Amino acid sequence: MGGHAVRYYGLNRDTVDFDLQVATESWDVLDARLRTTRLAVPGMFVEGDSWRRTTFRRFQIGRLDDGREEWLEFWKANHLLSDFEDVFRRREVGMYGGRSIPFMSLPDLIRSKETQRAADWRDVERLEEFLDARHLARVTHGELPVAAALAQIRSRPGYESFLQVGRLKSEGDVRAALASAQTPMTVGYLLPSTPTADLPDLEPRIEPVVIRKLRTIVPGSEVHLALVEALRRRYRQARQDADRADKEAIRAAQKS
Amino acid sequence: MEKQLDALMSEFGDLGADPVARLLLTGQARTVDEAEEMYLDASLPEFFALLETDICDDDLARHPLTRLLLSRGSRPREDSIL
Repeated sequence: MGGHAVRYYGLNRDTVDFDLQVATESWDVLDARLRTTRLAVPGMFVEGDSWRRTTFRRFQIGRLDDGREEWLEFWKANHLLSDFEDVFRRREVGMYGGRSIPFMSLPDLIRSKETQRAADWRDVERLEEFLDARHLARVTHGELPVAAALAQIRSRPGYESFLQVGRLKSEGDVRAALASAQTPMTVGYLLPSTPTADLPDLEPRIEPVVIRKLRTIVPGSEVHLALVEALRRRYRQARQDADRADKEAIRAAQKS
Repeated sequence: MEKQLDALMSEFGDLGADPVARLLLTGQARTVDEAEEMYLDASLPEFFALLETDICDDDLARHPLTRLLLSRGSRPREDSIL
């Protein structure tokens, strides 16, 4: 996960931290496991401070020529991560730095970046484009049903690409995709193509006035795309609020 | 306080009436990027209220909030790196 996973998926990103999610059963023996690796030399794996040590631990593994510290960082859990077993089952294995490495799946990585930080949302914006482009390629090669791909559309270039190649023409596909859509942006993109479709319950809830407008607007028009951007902004605000609340709850629990 | 602010902004003429410029001039935002983000976040209720009016789609497409939502949102396909 983290910056190296972002790089693996194609976004050039300067990072000096290595972030990993670990299984619950490995958490308590993390130190012992690290000491058995070939990196374990005296002075290595000095544990750093963590304000949520029961779920996040970090170990310094070196210092770059420019003086920046390199850290190996471990997450046991947080509100943006699914259970390790689920995340691991959805992993993507690929070559990175000359080795075959398991990475968090792209949808899981996007979810993990829905934090308070503006920089993470800039990554989300690009990663959404990568995800949509991958899905369109898989649809084109017959590896993914159209409805499954449409159900995850989140970016404007992704939507416009599906629209341009005629992948939103099947009412059945769009209806099926809408039924399993997980973000307001996806609903926003798809609804004008099937205006009478039923909608899933989502958080944050889409304002009724926006739904009414989406049911009458021309697909792909500027107003349509602006409505989706309003929904995206609402979504980001809600996710940022949730991340802030999670951090405040942890800090409050630590004080009590 | 609001009256004092209005008086101060009036000295900047048209610029003082621009909500984004106002955020910059009052020090609430440090950059244009930050000011536009703050303005848009705060203006979503206004945008949704606009949808309740009888504004036609052409006028809605030309509205400054619509333009700003588009310019600060997910980029168009032709500008994508993919």
